[in-house]
Amino acid sequence: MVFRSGAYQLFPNHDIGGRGVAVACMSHFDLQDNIRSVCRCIWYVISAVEDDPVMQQKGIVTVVYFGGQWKSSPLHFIRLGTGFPMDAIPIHLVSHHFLCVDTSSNDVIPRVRNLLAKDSRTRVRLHFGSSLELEYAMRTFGIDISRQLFQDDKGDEQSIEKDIQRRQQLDDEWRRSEAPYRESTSPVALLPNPQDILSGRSKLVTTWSGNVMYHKLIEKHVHRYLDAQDGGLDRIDKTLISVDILLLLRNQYQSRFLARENATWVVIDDSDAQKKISRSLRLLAREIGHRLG
Amino acid sequence: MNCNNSNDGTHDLCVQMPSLHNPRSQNAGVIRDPYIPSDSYTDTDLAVEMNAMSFAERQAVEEDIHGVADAIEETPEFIAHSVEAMIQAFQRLNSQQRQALDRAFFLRPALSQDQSFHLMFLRARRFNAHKAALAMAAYFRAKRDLFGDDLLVQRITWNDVCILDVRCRTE
Repeated sequence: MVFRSGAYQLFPNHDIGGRGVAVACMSHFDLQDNIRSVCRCIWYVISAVEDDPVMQQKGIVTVVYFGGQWKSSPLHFIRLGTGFPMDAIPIHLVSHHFLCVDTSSNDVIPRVRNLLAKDSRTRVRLHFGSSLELEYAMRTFGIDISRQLFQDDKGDEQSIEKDIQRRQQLDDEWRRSEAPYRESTSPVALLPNPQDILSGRSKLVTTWSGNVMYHKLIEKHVHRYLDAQDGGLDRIDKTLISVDILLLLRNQYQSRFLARENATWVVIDDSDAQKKISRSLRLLAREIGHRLG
Repeated sequence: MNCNNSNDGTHDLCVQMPSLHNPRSQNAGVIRDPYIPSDSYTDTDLAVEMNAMSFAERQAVEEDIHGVADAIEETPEFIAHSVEAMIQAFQRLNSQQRQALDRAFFLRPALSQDQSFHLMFLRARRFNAHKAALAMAAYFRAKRDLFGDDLLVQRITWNDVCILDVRCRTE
């Protein structure tokens, strides 16, 4: 995986200008894997900016090291560059530093530069020299990175592991903060679960997995409703059918009935949910009646 | 070409005006748009782009690169005004651009009023409301493309990346 190889990493510390520093080592990339998988990993690395307001304000500097023995061909990198959605990342890319130890990358650099957005292409600086010279060159731009980073075939395992742990902690915190809203007992929901049933008539609602499942369930139970009608059963029996369906949805599928209210999803109460089920049964029964003439 | 190697190993900016002697300019009858670079981005392309910039724009780029650019002052009024302008800019996007964005706002309505989320895109595009709106639409498009509908409005966690990576390998 790209993250563990240290091919692309975002340093936990900012540079002296307060900017974030992202380092890509071309020699560490193994692009024989699926390019989309690599794109996902780079996206994940960059998504750390969402938790860091300072980095959002100051932007990030990318440092690309072109030296070492490459595991992937330049063509793979072109595919990666064209496949990665640069225009979608929510970061100000302040500048790019391309570090080269020799002239072997001269053919590749113009192509890599071509993949950058117009605003970014003028922000590229090329540096040539030994790893020591490159380290010092970066320091003149306020970026403190160890030359050791480029010398190994893989990144610093300890710091990568620490970064993964830090990210997992943040993930856990996020999960804990969202968990109460996912409970079936919660009166509000931040976002619907796949099995929740949404109110509304838009395409997004009708194609929602929970709504599709709900309509299948109604189709399955409509014969009971029709039988009740034909047998001359009273209103209470029809109500019992809808209550049965409501309990089935809640207990077996853990579904909630949600309605949008201002900027949130509100769980609608049982009597309204039961009315909604009754209405769905009535409409489908009427439709079947029309079909049968 | 005026390309200087300074002592710190840095290649200073190469500025070259397109000339008649440049073989790239001699493609008879071909008029190149200077803003659409060729497959390989040459120093000439860079020079054309740099020359198209104003002095102030160049200055801003240089200051950014050296980390000495002035930070944009973010007063509450300025932020509120920028977020409002960004919300209005959403209306100007076409339906194709808005598709993933609309789905995201539908699924998680709080996002449409989340100032800090809007602010992240505004900061990324130096408070240009239209560019920020475009970036947010592209963000959801890309996120849906890479991670699928299920994770569109969720935080991408380490587990998600690992699961998708394993699935990718097995497929």
